[in-house]
Amino acid sequence: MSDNADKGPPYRGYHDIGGLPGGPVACVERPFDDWQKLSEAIRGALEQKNRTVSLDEIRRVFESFGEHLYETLGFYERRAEALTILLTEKEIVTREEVLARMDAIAAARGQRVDHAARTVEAT
Amino acid sequence: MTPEPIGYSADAVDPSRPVVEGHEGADYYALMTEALHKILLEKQVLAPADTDRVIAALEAPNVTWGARIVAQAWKDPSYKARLLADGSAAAREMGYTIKEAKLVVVENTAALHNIIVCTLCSCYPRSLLGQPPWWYISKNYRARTVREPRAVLAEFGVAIPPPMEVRVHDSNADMRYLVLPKAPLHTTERPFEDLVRLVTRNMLIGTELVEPYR
Repeated sequence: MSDNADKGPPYRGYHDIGGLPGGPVACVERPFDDWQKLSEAIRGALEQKNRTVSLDEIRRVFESFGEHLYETLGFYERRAEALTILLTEKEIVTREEVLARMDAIAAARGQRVDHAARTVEAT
Repeated sequence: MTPEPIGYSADAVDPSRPVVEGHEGADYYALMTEALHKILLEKQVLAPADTDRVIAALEAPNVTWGARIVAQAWKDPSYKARLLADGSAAAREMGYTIKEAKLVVVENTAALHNIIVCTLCSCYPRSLLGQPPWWYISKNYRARTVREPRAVLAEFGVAIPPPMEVRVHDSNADMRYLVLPKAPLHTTERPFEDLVRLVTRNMLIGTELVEPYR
């Protein structure tokens, strides 16, 4: 915070993009993919079960997990990353077990996961 | 474990720096979601029926629900008055419960055009209309609509004559907006279902017109 304190208010998060310049709006339609639906459903189901997570918490995570991820990832991808981080914080899962399971599922399909580049490629 | 400090960024407050429209990572996060789901099932944090139920609820709402509210308002002035006074209550009258927030309905007239955005996140009346379109959740739309709404509207092929006012509504966690498009002529004579068919999702967001403004 000290860096920002020098700049004086208002402090503005990287998600607070209203009014910034941008390119043309791509007026296109994209389907609501099955994985996006499942990701939203996991969050919704956990929210309904004893409020294990809330949308506000998910927002807090992706609004603080760093500008690089916020800029590079898509909308549902940001939320999926935030969900895993949140469940890790709450000690419901560990990141290691999630990444290991991703590797195992990919390997069974003849794929390899690059966790640094966040890609899945055929081997 | 101490949480990381919030990542306020000097770059993000530079008002001349364009937003970055990244949409990477789909394959990776599809796989992460699958892995996470399997783990949560194994740990019995979730049962298969839990996510099935939420998916059914995500898939149920659709644009027709919003279109029916609009058609009703076009046909019935007293319903329109109730809709503009309390969107959530008027939606409930038609059988639609807006679960996520208060619904605020804004009316297009010959003098005023309304357009909806969510600059901070992508708040949208999902429990009425379903998931927002891809462009609505894009950073270019979120960033530019509050600064240059007429230019954004032009990209959708919508021309707003200069004397008209354009009002931009920035949604938030507590308020979701719906545009009541300007009614075509002869709505009282036309069958209700014909009116419903005229209304598209983009009209309910404000990026399409039933008829051009004059």
